[in-house]
Amino acid sequence: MRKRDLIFVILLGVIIFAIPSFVKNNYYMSILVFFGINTSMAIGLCLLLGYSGQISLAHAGFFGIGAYSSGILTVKFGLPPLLGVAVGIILTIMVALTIGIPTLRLRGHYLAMATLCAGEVLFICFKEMDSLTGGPSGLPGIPPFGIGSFVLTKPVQYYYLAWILALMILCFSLNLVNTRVGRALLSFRYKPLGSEEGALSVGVNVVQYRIKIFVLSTVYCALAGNVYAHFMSFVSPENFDMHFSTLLIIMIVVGGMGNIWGAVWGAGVMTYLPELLMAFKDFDILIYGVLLIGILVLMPEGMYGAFVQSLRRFAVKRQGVFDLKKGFRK
Amino acid sequence: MIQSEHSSEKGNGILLSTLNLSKHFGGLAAVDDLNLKVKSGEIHSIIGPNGAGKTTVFNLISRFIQPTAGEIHYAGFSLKKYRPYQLVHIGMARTFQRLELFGGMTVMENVMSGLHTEASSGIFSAGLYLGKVRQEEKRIRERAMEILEFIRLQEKRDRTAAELPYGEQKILELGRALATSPKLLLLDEPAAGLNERETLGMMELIMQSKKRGITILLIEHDVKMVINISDRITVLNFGKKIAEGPPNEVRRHPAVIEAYLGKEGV
Repeated sequence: MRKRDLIFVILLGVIIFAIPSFVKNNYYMSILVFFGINTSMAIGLCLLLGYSGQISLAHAGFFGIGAYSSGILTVKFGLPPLLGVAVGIILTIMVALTIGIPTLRLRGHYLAMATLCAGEVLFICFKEMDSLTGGPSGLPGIPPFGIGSFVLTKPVQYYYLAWILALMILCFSLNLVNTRVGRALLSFRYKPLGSEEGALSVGVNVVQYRIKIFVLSTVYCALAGNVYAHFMSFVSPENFDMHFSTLLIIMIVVGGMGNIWGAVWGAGVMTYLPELLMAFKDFDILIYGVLLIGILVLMPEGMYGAFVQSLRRFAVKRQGVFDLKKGFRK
Repeated sequence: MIQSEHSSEKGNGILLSTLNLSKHFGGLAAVDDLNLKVKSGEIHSIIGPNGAGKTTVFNLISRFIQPTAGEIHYAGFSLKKYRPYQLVHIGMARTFQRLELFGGMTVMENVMSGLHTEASSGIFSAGLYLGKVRQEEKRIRERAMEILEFIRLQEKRDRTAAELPYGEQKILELGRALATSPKLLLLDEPAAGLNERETLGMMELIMQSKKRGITILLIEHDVKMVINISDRITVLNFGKKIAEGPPNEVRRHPAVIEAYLGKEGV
């Protein structure tokens, strides 16, 4: 991790741990829990789409695998929640490999279509495997998360759980992108940002990296799903459909694809915006759409990208020289 | 029988050889029955008119495409089972005619990418940023700085590669290939699109790379450059070898004058 990132992580950590002393309202607290959960997933998708240049429209399905693993093991088999987490991770890795090995040979639109189908297959599984998942009516009565006699019941406790997970994922990912692995991921993006031939010529096993990063990002989703299931105590297939996969992509596009901080920012905006717009009653969807289009037109590099650019412009004004050294991604 | 031929090749100091190498695209024989021997420590150039099959030869050697027939031997063993990304491990690196740089990364990161196989950390050790990774990254950074100094781009290390002028991008790609510590370097038209001063700089870098013990296989259109720096020249036309030898012999070869140099009046 770079020094600047470390400072931001510490800053974010401090803010996160300060918030509960100001926010006592359970409704706001639960929005912040969703913010944390979405952040974990958005970071994974950012590594996949923003760094390695591969799209996935199946990630809601992996979120679902995590959530259902927790739900089914605790509700149907009465096993401890931690076991649900472990099974969720293993199952996700297995499914991700099964989906990833054949589909990740595809590029661009073809990859989008293939992962869209894979996501839909997972959605149908959640819906049709009645005896395990409870079918379309969902799986109620998931017990709260806990280790031994320490059980999380209040939203603020889930807030800490979701954000400790998100911070861990954030640190892990920030470390990752600034090493050999991160450079390898960036190297085989679409031209002109990267080059697959170039990556092969320096010895990057492109196929293997594409699969590895796909699996890693799905594991992030599964972990988020574990937290989600225990927090909501109820899961149903509708939470894990294609719309949610799309929403995850919108998060990182709005936030800024080229940077992990953009994913955090995008997750925040896209979690809070719908709640904020509820004040407009029937017009909320309309305003939501207009705002999204506005963001994408005015800030093609996402809100984080626009923020970095305006900082740079400010610096230019003060120094009077155009500093080309600071790239957008840094 | 092939095996015995290799051992003798090794003795002759031949690093790379192709044996009746052919590549057909449909009815077109892009490379036809090519026998090429690249001696260790030399600068060996392949020249020929447009469409003579030069780049196809490179793509065959670097395993981006599969030959229709024939074999490629490197340091005494067949490259048949090798995939493109594995060639770096056995000391083969290449550049591309149309640049294949990582445009979104900085100059420094491009060179550091060339050192990919010098390190071994995987996703987990990298994500946890273990001590091993820290040391690896430090070493890679130092090595990359050395290479940037060698190619004289150290002052532009924090620029993104896409921002560089074309000539410097060409040099950066050479630097990235050099970072892999190659024994054999395949350069596909390194001087194409460069002005005279940049071409001289490129020639200088190629000569210095040779002095460091790197064998170089070069495709180039710039005849002056080829004749100046090559130890040996192979001339291709329509996928076939029409002449081979030291520069002075090749430039006087009647078939060459007819096919290629004649047009220039050399």
